[in-house]
This record gives sequence, structure tokens and C-alpha cells, in this order.
Amino acid sequence: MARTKRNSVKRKYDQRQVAFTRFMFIVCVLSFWMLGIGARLVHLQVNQHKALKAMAVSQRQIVKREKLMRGTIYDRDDRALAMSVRAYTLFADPRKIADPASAAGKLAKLLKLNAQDLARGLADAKAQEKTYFGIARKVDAETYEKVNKALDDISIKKAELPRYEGLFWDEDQRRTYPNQALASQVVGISDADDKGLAGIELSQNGVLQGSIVKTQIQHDRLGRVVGQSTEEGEEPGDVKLTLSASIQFKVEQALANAVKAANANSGMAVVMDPKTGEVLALANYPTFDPNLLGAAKPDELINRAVQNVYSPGSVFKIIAYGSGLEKRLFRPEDMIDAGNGTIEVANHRFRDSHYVGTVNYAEALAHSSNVCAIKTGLRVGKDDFFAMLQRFGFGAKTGIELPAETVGIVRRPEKWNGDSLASMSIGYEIGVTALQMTSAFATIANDGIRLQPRIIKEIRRPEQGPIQPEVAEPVRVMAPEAARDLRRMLKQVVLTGTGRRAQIDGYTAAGKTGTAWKFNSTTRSVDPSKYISSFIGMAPADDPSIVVGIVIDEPKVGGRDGGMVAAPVFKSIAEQVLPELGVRPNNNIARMNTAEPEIPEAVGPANGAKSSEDRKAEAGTPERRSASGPAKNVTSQPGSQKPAGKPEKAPDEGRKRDKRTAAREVTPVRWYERRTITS
Amino acid sequence: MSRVPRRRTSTKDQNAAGSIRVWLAVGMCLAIVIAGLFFAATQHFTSIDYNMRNGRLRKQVDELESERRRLIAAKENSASPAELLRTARKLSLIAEPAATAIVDRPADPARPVLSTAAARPRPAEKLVAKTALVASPSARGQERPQAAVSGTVERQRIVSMAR
Repeated sequence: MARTKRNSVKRKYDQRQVAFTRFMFIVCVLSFWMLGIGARLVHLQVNQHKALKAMAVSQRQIVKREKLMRGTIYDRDDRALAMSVRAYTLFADPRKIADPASAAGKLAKLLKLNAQDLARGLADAKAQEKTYFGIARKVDAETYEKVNKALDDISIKKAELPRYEGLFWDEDQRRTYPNQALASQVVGISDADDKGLAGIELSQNGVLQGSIVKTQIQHDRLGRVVGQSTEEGEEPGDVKLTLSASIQFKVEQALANAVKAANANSGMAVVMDPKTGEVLALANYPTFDPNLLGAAKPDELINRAVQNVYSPGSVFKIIAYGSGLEKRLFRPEDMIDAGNGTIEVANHRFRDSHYVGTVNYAEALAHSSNVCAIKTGLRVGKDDFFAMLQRFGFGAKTGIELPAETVGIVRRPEKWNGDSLASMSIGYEIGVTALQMTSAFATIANDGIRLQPRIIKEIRRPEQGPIQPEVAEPVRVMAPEAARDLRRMLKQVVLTGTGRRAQIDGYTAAGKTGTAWKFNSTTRSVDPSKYISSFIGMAPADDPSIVVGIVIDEPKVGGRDGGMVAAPVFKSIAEQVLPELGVRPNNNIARMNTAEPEIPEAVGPANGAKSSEDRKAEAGTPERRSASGPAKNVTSQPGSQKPAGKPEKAPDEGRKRDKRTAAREVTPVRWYERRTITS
Repeated sequence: MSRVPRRRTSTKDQNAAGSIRVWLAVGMCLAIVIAGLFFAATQHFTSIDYNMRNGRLRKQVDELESERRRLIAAKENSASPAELLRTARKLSLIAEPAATAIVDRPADPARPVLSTAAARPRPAEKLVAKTALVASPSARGQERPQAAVSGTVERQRIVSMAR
């Protein structure tokens, strides 16, 4: 009976059935559980995907965007003129700073800031929930270390320095100019964002500027870097200039001394290699230190040698004589008569500063006779004169790799007045830059072939060889014979003429002085009390290795002639530079005869008033042998032919003239000597 | 008719041998998987370690490059001509520059600058440092007044020196 009962129970609770039921129950539970988890996963990974991903990435990854170091500017001897060094910018996330006053107190002491101002700034930024508050920009490595050490708190788990909650460093770069003010107007400046603003920094910004590199750094919870990936950008290039730091320094010193001694407004100097067109030095005074840009005056930032236009005065006579030699109108040994030192062109009387008489062309240039230059210019004719101007490169940019170069002021012959050719023959009614004028002399030094002035020697890019910048094709300006004759005439200027103070110890030299009145924009006329004095020369005279241009603006103390003010600067520069370039001396020690009187140089284009000596001279010195013939509207007094149908004027007629004519005499040009800055 | 005697292998024995093989295979697979996992983990941690070292080295390279640049800048600064001149003056290796004097009058009174046959001397006129401010002594009475005071003073100085 009991057995039967047990069997029936067994039947009722079949073990397999029980196991299956239990199994299915567990499967159901697990299924629900997994379904729940799956639903949660779907929710997290679909609905909250973005937010959670961003959170995860921010916890393990730092993204740094930094600029590659800006390229370096070197001189021709690979000395750094401008380079970038590592700097650090400290900033705060004010939301994370618990106590702004305490943080400000610590930082102010370290960074020499005003604690109260800093605390107020942090507190305000925190109240406004700002995420960035700049504290100190571009501090050096030493300060960086000092701040990190002072703020170090080991209890703070932070991947980056400084270990202080809410403070961060941003790696930055700072531009430094190790040679301070040396060639500052040429090298230029860059702004706080390392973008070029002036000079080579601006013109070569595309080469020098470093691209932005994005670096992703993965780190563990302790801040240790476990992975890093960098998106490589293009490495910046370096620029090598043709300037020599050593020569530049000597030129700047000589120029500064001359400007200070003459109490002048400013000065410019250019040293060129005529055989290559390379600019070895380009100096301006006053100058500035780019490391202390805040202290610089706006006027000091201008590269006057390429941006300022001035009337060249007698230096420009080389164009008239050069054109005449090119047209074979005369030889340097031919004679020309300066008469009594006055010439009238289109009712405009031009005078020599001193009596010259009948001389050969070389002596006429040596003594800077206005009359002879005007006669020569008139013989050449305005079309040929203008063509020569253009071939020399006046009225156009030289092509030097510097920004804001001006083209100068050159009018087309259709716009010339009756006396324009005469004025231009002696360097008025025209505006040139110091670089243009030096380039013209370099053309003469290079046997009549004009080369584009260059200031960039090469550009170096990583994984590439040095790249030479493109330059314009050389231009034949004048025949080699004409250039050599002109050089011979210029040599005479230094030997016996107005440029005797440019004689160099051990080397022969050639050059031309220039002294021009400045234009007064207030009175709209030239101001006879203000000068631009210049000297542009070359050495050695027979085979020039350098051409040096010196321009002094408004010398006020001592002599004002180019021969007195600028020629000694040329001498000083050439005597230092030639041995440095390894040029062998070709002359004895210069022996300038100081017993001989200084030769005054023609300055202004005209002067209406005449001295008693002038009137005496007008009694007549017949033109003994003049190679120049009278041109239309030209009166060379005395002994020269008078223009037909034109009444002869009384010797002191100038005073009786109406105001308009008188004004015209002293204001032959109203537009020159503008300060032109182009961009 | 002789009967070939049947080989007597029990099912139990067959099952035991089969299960051993299965267990061996499973064991081997597990061993391979475990070894693979171990190897992968080692690789993973080695990679992390290398990355850490790499990061440290990169940082070091950056710091050294920064330091190199800083030293070059300091060297260039110290070797700059202006700095050398300053140091030389400080050490009295060269003298302080004297005030530059520009000669503003000729050593000799004027005479014709050119002695050609045709050149006529202009007697009694002294040549002074040429500027438009200075007229010849004979024409001094006709001089225009100069606008700039400094110019007037300067002219008087030059004229007095020329006398």
C-alpha cells in the first residue's frame, strides 16, 4: 500500500518535468534580466551616446593645439637675427578655483602682479562662469618652473602642471631678436600671435609661420601618458638674408655717429655688392629695438631707405652725364663752359654755387656744376633722358623683398614743364629712394648692367634644399664703355671735387655728392634752410666691390654738403667693409690735401637774387669751347646765345619780377620730397 | 564454415577514449586561448608602457629643443656686435667714443676751385662751408632772413668763422 502511494507521488512530481520547469524559470529570469540590461545599454549607447562619449574622452584624453616654432631669420653668416623661443601662458578656469583670493595672492607674488586686481578679475570671471581667464602671457622657462614649484600640491590628481586646481599652462612661443636693434627695420617685427607685421617678418610670413599641430594625448587616471597621436603640419622654413651682421653693425655705427654729429633728423645707408645685387647692409637711424617694441616711436619703424622719397640733388647728375656718354655726345675730356655760373631755362634761372668756368666734363661733374649738368641734360633731350631714367629703374620698384617699397616720383615727359628737364638734370622734380639711387650707382659699377637688389639669399625648408629666390633678368642700361667713362668721372669727384672727404686709405674710390633743399609742405615751397645731404660711391673705383649710399636728412650742425656730412661716412664704412670682404688694397694711403679749400656744391635749382660778383661776371666770359649747344628756352649767360625773340633781362631783374615768377624760381617743384609710404 | 572471431571492444572503453581526446582537445584549446590572452595582455601593457616612455621622451625632446633655442638666442645675444662693444668698453679694452667733430670750414680761405686757363678768380670772396644759408660777404646785406632761429644762429657762427 505504501509502495503504491510512493509510486503515485513519483508520478505526480516527475523529476524531469521539475528540472525543465526550473530551467525554464531561470531562462525566463535571465532573459528578463538580459532584456533589462539590453534596454539599458540601448538607452546609454543610443540616447546618451554623445554625452557619454564626450565625458569618456575628456577623462582620458587631452587635445593640444600648438603652433610650430616660427622660422628663424639668419644673416649671410648664419647668425640668427630673429628666432622664436618657448614661452608659456598661464590661464585659469575660474569655475574650478575654490578660493580666487588665495590663488590670486600666490600668483601675484610669483608673477609680480597686483593681487587685488587679479583676485577681482578671477572672482568676476567665476561669477560669470567663464572658462578662460588669462593671467600671464608668454612667460619664460624660468618663471614657468618657479610657478610650478611654488604651486605644487601632491594631493591634487592632475595630469598637467601646475598641480593647482583650476590653473593651466598653455605652451606658446616668443619672438626674440638677439642682435637687438641691428637691422631692425629690415628684419621687421611680428605680433603677439606670431604674425609678421613689418620687414622680412611680413614679406616672408608665409615661409616663417608655423602651422598648427593638433596632438591627442591619452593618459591614465594618474595622468601618465599612455598614448599620443599627432596630426603633423607643414614645418616652417628659415630665411637667410644677404645682410652681414658685422657689416650692418659697422654701417649703423657710422651712420648713427654722423646723424648725431650733424644733429640731423635721420639717416639712411645702403651697402650693395654691385656684381650680385646683394644688399650687404641697409641701415636707418634712428632705429629701435624690436625686443622693446613698446618703447619704439612709430617713426622709427619705417624703413626709410625703401619707403621714403627724397630729391636726390646733384647725385642725380649721373643720369644726365650717363645719357650723354651713352649717346656719345662727349667724352669726359671734352670741354664745357659753365659761363658765369647761371643758366636760364624757361624763365627759370639756375645757378652754380661757385665759379667753375670752362672745364672738361669730368671736372664739371667733380665740381658739381649745375649749369654744366643742365646743358648736358638739355643736349640729351627729354625723351632719351626719360628713357635712361627708366632703364636705371627710377619710377619703379627695385623688386627687393621688403614690404611697402615705394616707386618714387617720376612724371612722364608729357607732364613736364619747360624747365623740368633742367631741374631733373640736377636732381629736382624727381623723387627717389636711397635704395633706387644706390642701385643706379651699382649699375654703373657693374659696367652698365642693372641687377635687381636682393636681400634674401636663400629660403630653407625642411626636407628641401636651399631655395634661391627668383630675381629679375639683368638689364643692360648703358654700354660698358659709357659706364667706365662715367666711373672715371666719378673718380674725379673723389680725387679733386666735392667728394674729397670720401677718399679711402688703401683703395681708390668714386662717387658723387648731393645736397638738395627739402620741400616744406606747409609753405608749399622748398625750404633753403633744410637739406638732404648725400653721398653715393663705390670702391675700388676701377673694379668696384661695394657701392655705398649715404643719405642724411636735415643736418643742422657744421657743414651741410653731401661732401661734408655724408662723404666721411662713406669713407668710414668703406675702410671697414673692404678689408672684411677680402678686397686687396689698390691704392696708397689717401692723402687729401686739407690745405685746399672745400669745394662748395650746387644746392638749389635756382636763386633769383644775384650778388655783385654775379653781375661782374656777367660782363662776359665768352664760351671758349662749349660742347653743348643752346637749347630752346635756354639762356646761358654770358656768351651764350639768347633765345630768339626773348628780351634780355637786367642783371638784377630777379628782384623786380612779379611774385609769381619769383615764387617759381624758388619753388621749381612743388611736389617733390613727399614722404610716401605705400603698403 | 569457420567464423571470424569478432573483436570484442566494449562501448564503455570506446566512450572513455573518446572523452579523453575531447578533454585533451578542449585543454589544448583553452591553453592556446589562455596563452593568447596572456600574450595579448602582455602586448597591451607593453604598448602602454612604451607609449608612456615615448610620451616622456617626446616631452624631453621638446624641452631639449626649447632649451637649445634658448641657448642659441642667449649665445647670439652675447655675441652680438653691440653687446661685444658694450663689454669691451666696460672692460676698458677700447676707449669711449669721443664726440665726432665735423669740420665745418675749410683750412684755407677760398680761391678758385679750378685752376684752368679760362678760370677767372673771384677776388675777395671767401669760400665758406657751402650752404644756402651763407651768402658771400659781399652779398651778405642781401641775405634773406631765415625762418628758423637755429639756422640764423648757425649762419652767424659759420660766417664768423669764415672771416
